Amino acid sequence: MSTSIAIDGPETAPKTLPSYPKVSAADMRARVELDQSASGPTSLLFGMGILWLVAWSFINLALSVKLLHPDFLSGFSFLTFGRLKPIATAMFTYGWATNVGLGVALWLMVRLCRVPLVSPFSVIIGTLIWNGGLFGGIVALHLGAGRSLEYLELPLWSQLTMMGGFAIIGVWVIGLYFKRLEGTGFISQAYIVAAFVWMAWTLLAGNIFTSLPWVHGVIIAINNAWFINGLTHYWFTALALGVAFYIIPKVTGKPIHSYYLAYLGFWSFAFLAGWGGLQRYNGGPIPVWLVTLNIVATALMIIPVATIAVNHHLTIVGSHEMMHFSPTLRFTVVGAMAFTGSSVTAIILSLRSVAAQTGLTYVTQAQSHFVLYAFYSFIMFGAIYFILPRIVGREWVSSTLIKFHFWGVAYGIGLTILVLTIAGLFQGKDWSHAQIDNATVAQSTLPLLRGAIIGGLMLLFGHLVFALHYLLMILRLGQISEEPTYIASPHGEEAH
Amino acid sequence: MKNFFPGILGAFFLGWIVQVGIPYASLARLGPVVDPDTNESYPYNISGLAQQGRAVYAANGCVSCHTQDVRASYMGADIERKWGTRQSVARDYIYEDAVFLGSLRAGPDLSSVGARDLALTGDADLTSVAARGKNATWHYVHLFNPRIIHPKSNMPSFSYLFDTKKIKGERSVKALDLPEPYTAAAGYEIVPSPEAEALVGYLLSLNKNHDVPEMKGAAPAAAPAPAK
Repeated sequence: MSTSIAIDGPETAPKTLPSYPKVSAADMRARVELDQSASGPTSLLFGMGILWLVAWSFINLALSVKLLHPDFLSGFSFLTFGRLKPIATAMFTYGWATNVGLGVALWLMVRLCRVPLVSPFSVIIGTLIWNGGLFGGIVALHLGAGRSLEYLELPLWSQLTMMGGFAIIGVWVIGLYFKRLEGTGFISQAYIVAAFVWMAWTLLAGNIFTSLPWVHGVIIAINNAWFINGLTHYWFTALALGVAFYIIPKVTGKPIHSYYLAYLGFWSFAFLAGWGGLQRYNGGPIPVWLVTLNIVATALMIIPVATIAVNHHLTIVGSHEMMHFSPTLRFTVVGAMAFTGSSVTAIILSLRSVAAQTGLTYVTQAQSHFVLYAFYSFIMFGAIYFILPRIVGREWVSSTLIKFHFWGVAYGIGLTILVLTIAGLFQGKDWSHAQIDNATVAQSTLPLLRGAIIGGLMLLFGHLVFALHYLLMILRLGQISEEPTYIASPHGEEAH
Repeated sequence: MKNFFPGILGAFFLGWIVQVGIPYASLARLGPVVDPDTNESYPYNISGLAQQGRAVYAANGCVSCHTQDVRASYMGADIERKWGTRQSVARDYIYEDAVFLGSLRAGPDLSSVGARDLALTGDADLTSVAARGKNATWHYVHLFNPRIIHPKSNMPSFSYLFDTKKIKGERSVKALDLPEPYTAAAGYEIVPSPEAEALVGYLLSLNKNHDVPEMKGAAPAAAPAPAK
């Protein structure tokens, strides 16, 4: 099975590979022990995440088809568009994105703190509780228990169950931080620990506030927008930045360009990230000062974004050719570029003159794909390519499968974002002309939305390939090799 | 990093207080508007049927495609499209425990769909029973399959909210008059389920076209918030 990828002798040592610091045999053994302690829960979290991702791909595709063919599967209440839409959101955010985020964070914290995970079993229990709560919630959404609050659609009991699972995992991850060995301070730790603290409070505050019996009216929508922003910034973005700050120096073999910039980036992010999201109600029934404040805060996000982007860029600079053969770096760098890109588009879209055309259109959906997929998910894909070989003790089976995965998801999400943006611009322009009737507005977007079906098919293909590859790795069918599986040979010849 | 935890928690709660805490404190004071002459109170209290319909609206995710948020004229043609006579304000929603503002308009805004002239032409009196009946019929047919009314619509059919029943004796007064090819088989009729009746009751109750002091120069003073 495992045809070995060309391992050239030291005399043909690659010129493009960096010279990684020498690791002593004892240190190597220590790393293996650390990795082994977290291997069970980490691979389970990855597996759960990938399972949800594949499920999401089907629902996402069905939703794209339904927009064009409204009678497709419309005879069943549990498959109607309005129920599948929140189900897709929950599957993506709480299923895929949170599971892999937890897995990557757990492994990274074990490595960074140099403390083995004492009780992998309790993290496994936490994982099962999280996913059990989510599964129950999704069944309930199919049956019509939705709250019609974006990202808070799951019923309260389901979210409370999930929070229990999250708390168990979180306690162990933050415990690792408190037990860390001296001198292991690292910017990634700061992002990950902060992300867990922020996520716990965001989940708790967002859900409880919505459910208080005396809370009525627009404040529910305000809390909802605050929650979406919190989940996106304080959980997904913080996690992905923490991971990127680990992966980029690790793969390029260079230290982070500037620690000072890294800390400036972290603290400016911490203090600004919570002040956004309400601009979605621009011109709507919420206080105008609140919208203005959010627009200003979103614009100020340029400070952490520029600080972090410059730091990433200066660390990678000179190692860009590694993207040709390292799958980890290729996914991570695309993700890091999408972080900068999506942060800039977020600022543009929050401006009143722009939002008048793009608000409440498909452009907002394109933007959330930009953030949660092109940025967050790409960083996580990169991290999984780095981590999984280390916990199963085998290298990735096939460079062809990695390439199929990369090109499937890169073209798939690129096309999806592109067509949703263009369709949304048409939609916004048409709605702002009162003489164009409702059905015509909807109709004018449909030819473009055909592109979203093709994008959805590409994503599905990429995800199935990735799921297959994960399965092969878990079954320990990977290659036993001294060298990672590259997608092109760094030694100047074609990879097998 | 000894100030790490106070720092990240401070950053988080500062954001929460400004984004949710202060708006809550200021919006919670909003009460209804009471007309001193007619003693009519706005926002209107909706019927029990409409309350149930609101749950059907939530369960089926209507908010995925329909907003209930008439934006100010500087943000689009919402008012020009007659989705409402004025911009939506916080007071419009004070009785709602799920607020369907929405984030996408794949279809039109429904803030005041109950006040909208759907089945009728001209300035019909929408408070009359006959007019409401005609509007209700329009909604039933449209929910059953929107393409009966708008051939180009891409709204899904909600035929699962309707029951096909064998006609026993006389045809039910509630039975829908549908064109081909949507008719039921001979001897059968299509009637709205209780969910469909509740949903239509809710849609007809949607009417935010009422003057409020914050959207008018001179207006009656707001009544104090009801004690809870």
